[in-house]
Amino acid sequence: MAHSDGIGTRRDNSLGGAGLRAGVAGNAGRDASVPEGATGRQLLDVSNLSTRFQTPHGVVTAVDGVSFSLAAGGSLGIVGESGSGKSQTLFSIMGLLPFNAEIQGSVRFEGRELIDLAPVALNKLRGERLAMVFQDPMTALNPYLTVERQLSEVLQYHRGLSRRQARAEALLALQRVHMPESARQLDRYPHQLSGGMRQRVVIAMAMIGSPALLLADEPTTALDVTIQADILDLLAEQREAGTAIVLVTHDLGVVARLCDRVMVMYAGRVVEEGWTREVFSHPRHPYTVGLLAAIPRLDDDLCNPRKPIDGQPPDLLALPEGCAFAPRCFCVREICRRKSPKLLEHDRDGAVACYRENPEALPS
Amino acid sequence: MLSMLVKRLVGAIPTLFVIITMTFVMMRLTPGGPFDTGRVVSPEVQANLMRAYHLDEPLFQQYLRYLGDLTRGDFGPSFTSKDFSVTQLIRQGFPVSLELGVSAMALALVAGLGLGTFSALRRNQASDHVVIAFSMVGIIIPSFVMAPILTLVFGVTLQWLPAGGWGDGHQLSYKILPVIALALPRISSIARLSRSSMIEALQMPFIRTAYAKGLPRRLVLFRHASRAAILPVVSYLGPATAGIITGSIIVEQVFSIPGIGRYFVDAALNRDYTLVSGVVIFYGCIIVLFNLIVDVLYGVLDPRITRR
Amino acid sequence: MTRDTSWRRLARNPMAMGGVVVLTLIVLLALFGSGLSVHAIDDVFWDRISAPPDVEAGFYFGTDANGRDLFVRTVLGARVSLLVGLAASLISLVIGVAYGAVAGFWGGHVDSVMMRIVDILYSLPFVFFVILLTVYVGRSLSTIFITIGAVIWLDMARIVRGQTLALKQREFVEAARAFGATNRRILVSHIIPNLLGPVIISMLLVIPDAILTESFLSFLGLGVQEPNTSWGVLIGEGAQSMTEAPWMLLFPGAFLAVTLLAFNFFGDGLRDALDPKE
Repeated sequence: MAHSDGIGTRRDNSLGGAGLRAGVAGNAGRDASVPEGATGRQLLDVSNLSTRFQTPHGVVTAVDGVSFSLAAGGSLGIVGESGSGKSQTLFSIMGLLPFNAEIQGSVRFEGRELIDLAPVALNKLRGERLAMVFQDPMTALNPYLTVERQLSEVLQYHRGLSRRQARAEALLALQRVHMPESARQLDRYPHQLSGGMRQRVVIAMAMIGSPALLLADEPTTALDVTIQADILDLLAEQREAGTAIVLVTHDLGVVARLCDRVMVMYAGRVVEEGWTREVFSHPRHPYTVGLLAAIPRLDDDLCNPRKPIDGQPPDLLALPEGCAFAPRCFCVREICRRKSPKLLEHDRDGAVACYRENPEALPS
Repeated sequence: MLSMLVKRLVGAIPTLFVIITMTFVMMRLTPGGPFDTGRVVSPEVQANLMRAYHLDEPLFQQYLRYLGDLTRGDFGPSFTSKDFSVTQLIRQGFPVSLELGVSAMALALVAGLGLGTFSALRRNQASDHVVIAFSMVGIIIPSFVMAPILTLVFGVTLQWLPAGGWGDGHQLSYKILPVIALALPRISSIARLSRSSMIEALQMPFIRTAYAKGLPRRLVLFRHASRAAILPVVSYLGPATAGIITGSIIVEQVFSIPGIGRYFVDAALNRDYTLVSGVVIFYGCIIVLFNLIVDVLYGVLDPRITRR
Repeated sequence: MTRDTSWRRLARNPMAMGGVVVLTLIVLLALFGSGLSVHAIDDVFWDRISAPPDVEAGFYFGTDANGRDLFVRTVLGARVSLLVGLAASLISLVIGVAYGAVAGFWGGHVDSVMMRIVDILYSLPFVFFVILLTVYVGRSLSTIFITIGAVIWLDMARIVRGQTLALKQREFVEAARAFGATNRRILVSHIIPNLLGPVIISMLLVIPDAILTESFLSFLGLGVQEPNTSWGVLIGEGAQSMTEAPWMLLFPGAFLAVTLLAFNFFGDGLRDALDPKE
């Protein structure tokens, strides 16, 4: 059974649905940020991940057959609108779903299967090997405990350090995130810090166990623009130090800054993925095209403003048959409304799920 | 922190004044005067009595005299118990009422928090519904219905515990039923309150962060969630005390316990003005003081209040 | 219209509807119950002092310590308890609406001071003050509900003040002012009529408190006096005769408990129907 904090239930790989990797038979997983042809065990291997929620209004499939891999030290950006399932993907990996959630598929981290892992074993990994940074630092931190407490407890629990030792480590952690006056901030409470400082604390808390993988859920969205750059620099530092990062964001600029590879999600499914440079310069899926076209540029003609993508985000309770993006697509065809296209690889080390690109992308 | 304390103290003073003034005004404005026993007395005796109790002085002077007496702890003589002053009677009855009240509050906190937390962790299961139903009953059934029933069941029918009295003050068996009777409505309220506050606390984002750090469930509950969940209960301590003081009137009556509540009822039945007023002022001061302590406690627990 | 959906939501709530049914029954009993009983209120039966229930002889609930039929006394008690509850609520309504409307309407310093007074009074155990008042003012039926009402108006004042503050900002007040209406006229013709809704609901929630307070007093002997009786009096008498005649405690106690429960379920349901927290 799924717990309020745990990952849930049955392993069932017989799930169909869009995003199924076909056409590359025999390929167990995809390598991200590793040149094509290289082998080696991946740090993170997500295969056919699906997460469904039982709501009073019906079943919501937030994540629908998502697969990707990440090598050690690599960086992947996941972009999409609200409701695309990008954040839920991260929560599914971390096992932070509510108890009305149901997970299927496989998530292998450092070779271990995380889904249905016993809580004790899962807790050993979380905070130490695998850490997460959340969106709003004000609510992510406990307002009733000091900064030091929230940092120290990670090492106290995971490494059995004494309070004093852990406190020393906490100070170091704050210094590593370039917290001004770090010694003073240790005994402060979250509400006494500014937004940017709070997010540094959150990052420090995530990094204090020296994790191999950092999951970041829109880490700069709740911050002032001026602070965003600082935080992004901080994350870049972690990446350069060897920590793998999966970054969820709706801001393509952030992806360009931090991520080698990018994955575009829509209505819970992956619609395009590939090297960031490639996807940004040659977007293949109409949604990606729309996203990129909507970014304002310095040389824009103010009399012809940029157009946002037509239509509304999909209602996950009432997904249309066929491609979920069809109602808003500028080059939609008859086949699009009938059947959802599969995610197929192309020759530039990426993949896209669209009939325009791959007329043969019919699900079997 | 200190400035907050001073501010609260200063804020409490008007409350005290309101209580004292209201009581005084009622006392002095009663038509017929306090000696309206129906007995006919000669005019000289009447005048002497008036002078002895300073009732011939102008009203404002009487008020100041009253305030002066109060600061010295003198509530005046009891009108019906001729041998005792009000102060003496209060001093006699207070230790008993205090023990009863403190025990009831302790029981209410322990049982209420325990039940509430238990229920919150088993949300929507059978045991949760049982606790909710129980607390609903405890809140609504008045204490003057519950206390006699408790006596009936445990004191008379089953004969497990004495049906009333306080013994010599040191016997536990006499204290069990009255403390339970007094605590019951509070147990229900605290259970209900702590249940909902715990459920709310567990849904806060920082709980998710705690789990993301790999902390085990018990740590998340006892270090992270409980801090947030306890605050509404602390706020409730003020009204809870007022409720216990009110409830003690009934409980002391039903179980024949020699506390202040008992004196208060007798005084009210016998129209002993000074004793009734004295008890009201005394308990009023206690409540004001207690609210002050609760305010400070809340400030200690919630750093957002004391530290900007 | 929101009002229609509110009533529908209320109707769908089984506990609240149950409460309404029970309350209706109790009120009917209070009004017409004496017709159901065989005996009159002051009939004394010397041979049946504290006697157990005897349905054939017409003593459905037994008799009290004075040999009077408990059923008919319970019915009378219902009448008095409900009446006092209602009357006290009306008094608290008058005081509360006046106080709250003035505070909310004038705003500013006047409002702060007035609400501060309410805060002060709120923290005190008002039963003590009711008892204090009865000592000075006496214990006739009318003084009882006046003293209760004079003490429990605080919640009403708070609610009215909040509503007044909100209403003050609405456009029709601005419009009235633009037409040159005086403050008093605005208060009386515009604001007070719009307070009716929340006020009626608050009153429904105050009535059980008033009934409870009256029962509390009467239990101690400080409330309703002979020849009248209320549930509180009956419970008090029952508590004294508990060992020999437990029915004297249980019947009126059950009636009071059930009535309060019904009020509470109905009140909760009403609150949820008008302000759902989905």
